[in-house]
Amino acid sequence: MQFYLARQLALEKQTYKLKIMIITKDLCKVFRTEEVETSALHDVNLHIQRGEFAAIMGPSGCGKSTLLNIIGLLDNPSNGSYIFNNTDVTKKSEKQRTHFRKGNIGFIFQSFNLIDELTVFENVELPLIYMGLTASKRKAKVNEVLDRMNISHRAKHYPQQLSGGQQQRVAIARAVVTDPNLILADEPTGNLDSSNGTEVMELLKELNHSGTTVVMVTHSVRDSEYADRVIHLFDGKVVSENKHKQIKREPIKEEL
Amino acid sequence: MIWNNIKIAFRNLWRDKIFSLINISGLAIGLACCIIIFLFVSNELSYDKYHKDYQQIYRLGIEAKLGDMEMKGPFTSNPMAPTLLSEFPEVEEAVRINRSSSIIQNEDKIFSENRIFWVDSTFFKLFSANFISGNPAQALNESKQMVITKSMALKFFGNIEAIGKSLKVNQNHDYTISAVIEDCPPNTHFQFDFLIPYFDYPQSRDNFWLNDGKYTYVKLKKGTKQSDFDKKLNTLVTNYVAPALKSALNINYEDMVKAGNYYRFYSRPMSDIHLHSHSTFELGNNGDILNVTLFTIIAILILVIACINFTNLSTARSSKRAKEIGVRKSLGSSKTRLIFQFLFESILLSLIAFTIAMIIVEFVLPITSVLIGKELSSNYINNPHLFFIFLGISIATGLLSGTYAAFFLSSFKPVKVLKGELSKGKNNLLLRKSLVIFQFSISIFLFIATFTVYKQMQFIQDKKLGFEKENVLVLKNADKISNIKSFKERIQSYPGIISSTFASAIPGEFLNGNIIGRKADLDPNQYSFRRISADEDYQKTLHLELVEGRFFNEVIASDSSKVLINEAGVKELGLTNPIEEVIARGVTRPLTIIGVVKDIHGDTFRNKILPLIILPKDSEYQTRLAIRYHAGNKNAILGIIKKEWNNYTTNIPFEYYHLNNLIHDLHKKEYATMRTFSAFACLSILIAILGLLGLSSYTTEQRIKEIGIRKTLGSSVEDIIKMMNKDFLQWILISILISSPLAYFFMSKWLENFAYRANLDIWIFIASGLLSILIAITTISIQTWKAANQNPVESLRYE
Repeated sequence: MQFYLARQLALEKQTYKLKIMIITKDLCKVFRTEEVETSALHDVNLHIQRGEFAAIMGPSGCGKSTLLNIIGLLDNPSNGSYIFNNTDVTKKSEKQRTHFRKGNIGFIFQSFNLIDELTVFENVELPLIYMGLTASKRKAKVNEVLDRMNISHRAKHYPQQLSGGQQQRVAIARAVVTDPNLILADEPTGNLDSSNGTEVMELLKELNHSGTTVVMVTHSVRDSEYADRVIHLFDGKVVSENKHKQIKREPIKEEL
Repeated sequence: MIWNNIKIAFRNLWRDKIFSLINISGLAIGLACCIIIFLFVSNELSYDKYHKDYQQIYRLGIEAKLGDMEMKGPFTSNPMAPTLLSEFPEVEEAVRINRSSSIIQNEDKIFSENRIFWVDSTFFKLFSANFISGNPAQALNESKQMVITKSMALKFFGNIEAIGKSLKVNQNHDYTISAVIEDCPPNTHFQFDFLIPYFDYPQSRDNFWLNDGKYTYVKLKKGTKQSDFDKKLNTLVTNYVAPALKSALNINYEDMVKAGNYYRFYSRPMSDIHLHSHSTFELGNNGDILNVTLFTIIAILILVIACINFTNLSTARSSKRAKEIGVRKSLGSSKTRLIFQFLFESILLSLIAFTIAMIIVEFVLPITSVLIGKELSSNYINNPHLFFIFLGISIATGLLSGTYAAFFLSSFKPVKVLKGELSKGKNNLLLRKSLVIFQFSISIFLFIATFTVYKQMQFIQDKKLGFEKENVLVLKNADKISNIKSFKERIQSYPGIISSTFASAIPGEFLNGNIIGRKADLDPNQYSFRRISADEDYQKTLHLELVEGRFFNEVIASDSSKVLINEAGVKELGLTNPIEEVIARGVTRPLTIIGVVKDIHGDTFRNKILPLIILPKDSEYQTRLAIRYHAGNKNAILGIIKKEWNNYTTNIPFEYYHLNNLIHDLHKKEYATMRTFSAFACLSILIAILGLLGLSSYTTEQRIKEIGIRKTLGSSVEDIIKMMNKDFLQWILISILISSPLAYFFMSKWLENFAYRANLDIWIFIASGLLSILIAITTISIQTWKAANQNPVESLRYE
């Protein structure tokens, strides 16, 4: 696999460089407390292309979220390297990672992670503030994206006044308002009923079709069907990488 | 169950070491301050309460206004006490007291003593004393009897077997010791060493009502109302004072009253004297009720701050303990039991703090005693109630501060808690906000107060005294020098000595002699002047500043009828051209003003400088020789003077002091109060900072998830710190608005105690505000820095 990847890189360097967005090489993550050392990721090698919709699946505690956090530059790997948009970001400081993240990556969480004290509008506006946009530009952007997410009538409400589906739409609006190249979704439908879940997945599909790369962690086979590719993790290792069609053919019950 | 509680409590303490440290030390410092202040306040309030019938004993005084002259003081005249005893049935006993200082001698033991009092034989019927030997009923009945204290017996006789022995007073009167008593306790306004019968006092039979200057104490019958007594007391004015005014000064009392003047007697409960009476004629160094109030307020504030801290820190820590609560609840623990557990923990914590506080008190008390200039003791064995009061305060503190945390924590919904969702509501925010504002208002108030106190101290230190206090040695008993002129010449022949002056008083010990000065014959008004008599070297030796005119000159014979006055005197007399003006002392002696000296600060800065008249030498009894010397060779100079002293005197104790020490002693109490105040204020600010640390950790704890989200969305560490500071800064601004007017009000009130005072400058308020903002930003930023630098993943991990 490594060899393959290396050769692939060497052969298709020029074209590949443009096509590929995320390369991880021998990625490891170890969590340490005072006495226990837990290895969450072990030699993970991945490449995700621009415009791809990838799903990461696996049982609880297999390291899905950890991988997503590293991809999303929220966390540093303990070992190995990570190249994002042709830049080695493995050893970047927190400050530099923040800089890379800003406007490039949008996050969607299972528990929405909206700020309770801010209104829908203010929540969505937040990343634009950190990007340094002027108030008028921010307003235009936010209104546009709220419209797109069909939630503009709730702009002045607080998160707790919304239903779960609505909250997640706000979270997606916040994630896409900066027109990011990459959207990372950590079990985006985990807290939603099936109809709201479908709605969210449709939104993600739409975003992907309009050119945004999407990496999604999920438990749900149904959700994973939206993806072009499914990466299976088990005990911190990539056990298989399948195009969607292949998965469909295989029984996946034991993994759940 | 209890054992389980104790175990959990100690494990929690240990797990959050920083939290425990802040919480316990905050409470311990707070309690220690409280205990010390409590000891101080209870000592101040205990004054004169050891006298058996103190509630029935009053001191009488005069309040009068005659023209421009106003006076109020605890002095009355000789006939007052006998008149009261014969005419007022409600007066059970009355005693007259008059102060004296003399040289006391027993063979080779010669000292000048100044706590000698002429007292009526009824003295011990009013004032309680512990007799070591002698009989209170007969101790002051006969002429030339003397009651002395134990320490005087030891000083003069070497033992307390002094009864029947005699002491020589002023080298010619032998007094026989009739009783030895224990020393006066420190908590009395009236300390004495020697008591002698009043009828031995040379002017004791003077029956003139206007010759005040004696102290009269009365014991009223039980049930007598002070107001009724005061009313009746003033019948004496019309009956006795008015005729005296008429006969001596040809003043018609009724006309005098019509012209807006008054003359009144008043009584003051003896136990009020120490804290409420601030006359310049006090028998001792009195305290001030304002200080007692101020310190009590500080003690309460400190306790409140410490309580708030405790509550905040406990709630801040709650999220960490939420899981424990959830588990306990799901395992069947009732809410009551949880509340009990948390109250138990906070009381345990407060008891640990109390123990530490007691240790702190033991170490700090000696320092405090120096600081406030009075001995305080935490004698728990003799005063078990003290111990229990403090123990009670501690438990109450623990209970009070634990209550909120206990109810807050125990009301967590187990399911939510186990899922990681903490209940947080708007109520909480409001409470937190009010607590921050409250704490900051206190801190800013204390900053302003401390700056004001500091500024007043600076002001006192920098204030020109009107004379030079350094390098001046003052000899007492200089009247006993056989030939003063030759003595002066003799010591001045030594190179180290610059000059010397023989006078009745030097600055710092001016007596309030009520001379009635009169502006020629044109002005019928009378003026009260302090008076000193001094030789021609007075100005030169003490470096008095002349405003105009000249000082006395030895060669001008007519100077014996000339005087100098101070600026306050010029003002009092309303003179525009004081030089060559003639004033009169009494009715007979006309005195011409030849010079005006700058005002001399010979008193605390609380009192206004009074008009002063400097009379030519030998107009008054002169006992002081002030000697100015070159700086540096103090001890050599002292040796020389002592040697000469022995040549010029026989059997007179060589007693001296340095003028700068005398002046320092005058202000010692002010400094002590100010230093103590500042120390406590600083401590309470320290506790408030600890609290802020707790609060910001609470806030950070509460907003940790928000910080994570914001960081995920691209916020920088600086943005986060700015955001966290913003809220606090708003609250500080509100606090500044609340505390500034309050502080302005209270501190101007405090400054009004000083006739000479610093201004309450705007910079004090600005500096206090800025300082509190600086402290807040530093504290919050340190707290937030950690949270903001944390990997956002960590803060979002509850999922």
